[in-house]
Amino acid sequence: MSLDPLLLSRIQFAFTVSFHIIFPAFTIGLAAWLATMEGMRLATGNPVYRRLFDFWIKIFAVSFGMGVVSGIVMAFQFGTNWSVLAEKTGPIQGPLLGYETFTAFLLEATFLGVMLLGRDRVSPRPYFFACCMVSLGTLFSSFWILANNSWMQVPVGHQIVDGKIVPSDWKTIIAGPVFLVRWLHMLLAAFLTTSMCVIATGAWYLLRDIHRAEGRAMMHWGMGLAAVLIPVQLLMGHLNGKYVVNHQPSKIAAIEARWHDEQPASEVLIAWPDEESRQNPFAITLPPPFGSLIDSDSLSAGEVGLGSIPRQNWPPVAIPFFAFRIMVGMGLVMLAVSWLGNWLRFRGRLETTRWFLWCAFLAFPSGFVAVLTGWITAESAASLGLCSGCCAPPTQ
Amino acid sequence: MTPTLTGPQVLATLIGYVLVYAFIFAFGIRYIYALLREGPTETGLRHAPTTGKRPMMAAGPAETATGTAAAAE
Repeated sequence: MSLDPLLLSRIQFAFTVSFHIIFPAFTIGLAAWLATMEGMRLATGNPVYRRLFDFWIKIFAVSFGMGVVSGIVMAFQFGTNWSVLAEKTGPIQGPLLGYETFTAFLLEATFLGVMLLGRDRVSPRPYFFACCMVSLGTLFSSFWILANNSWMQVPVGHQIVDGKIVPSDWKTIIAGPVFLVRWLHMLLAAFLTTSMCVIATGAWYLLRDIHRAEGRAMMHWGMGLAAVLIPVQLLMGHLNGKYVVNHQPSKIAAIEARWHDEQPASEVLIAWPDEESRQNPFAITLPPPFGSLIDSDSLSAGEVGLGSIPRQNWPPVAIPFFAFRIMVGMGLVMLAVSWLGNWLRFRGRLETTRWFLWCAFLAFPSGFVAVLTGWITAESAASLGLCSGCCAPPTQ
Repeated sequence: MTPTLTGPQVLATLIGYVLVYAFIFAFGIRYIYALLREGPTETGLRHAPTTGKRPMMAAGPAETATGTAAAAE
């Protein structure tokens, strides 16, 4: 087999981008968590918040550093591997990434310095302000990256002039039809990832019977946030499905392992999708109209199957099919841990229910796994032709 | 894709990435694990050894009232 530079470049980008997303997914939430702890300390004067802050800022510093290091690599890859993509879409992607630098990186870099070095050099209120600015910077950063990626998923607001893509309407490019739900989905994912890590760390200390006050506070704050955010996140995920249904028929057909057009459609819960035979062995399927209900909020809507999509436009069906199900499964793990945990807390049994503490501790990777599999679902099946996401840029 | 790129070039850089990432992130993740294992101590964030030239010292081992506490290990 000859070495295909295109396939290898895709593997290379998939490798570096997968490593990278782990860190922003963690630090976006951590920055907000630190700002909250500092604000709570200012408001209440409780020393537990100061100890929590001083502890988590170390984790934040190291994670943030690794996030920056792994992020820079991808910017280079646009030049080394994807120079034709960069040339053709540069008029759009260049400014979007430039604005990330301009708004997010400058804000983060400046105030991260105050956060790490300024505790004894500035008074408490400016210090709290610096924490908020770092957190705001991480939000800006995710804003521009998701604006860029949403444009690649569903390209709008541009014209093609002499084979080059040039912007015609920046408002549409930045806040396109799919941007808002995708950005909120990613932000909530980041907050939930951090929540699960904070919960797990607290559970770990309670299990080892050390740092009880801090461990308790970590569990209370983490579970409180996760319990509120996870239902919102499930709704956001559903709204994300809407744009896939409307804009990317091959992706939704692969996610649902739907081989033929159906009206109304059934819903495959789990199966072993087989591209050759176009069947789903070992399937557990909900009868019609569950598929139409889930994908189109309708009892009678017709859903497109892979059979009516040309074979060369199919994504590798098994990858989005399983990645999507793992992501949803992780969401349900977070739901279970946060809701059960709060129930135990209000019954006053949280710290004595060791099996639950073990579950909460072992659930620490659930956020990371959900973020990774979510992005794999989004990118592995992003086949739009013009501009098809990070892993499948247009070729020449 | 970049037209001049060849398969062996991409394979070589891909292997390079894997090796460098394994090295850097193994250290980073091990360090975070050590910090998490230690947990929040009374010592808190150190400021004395932190300078503008070495901001990451904030995440390093620390002088305490009772001696030197290594954050790692």
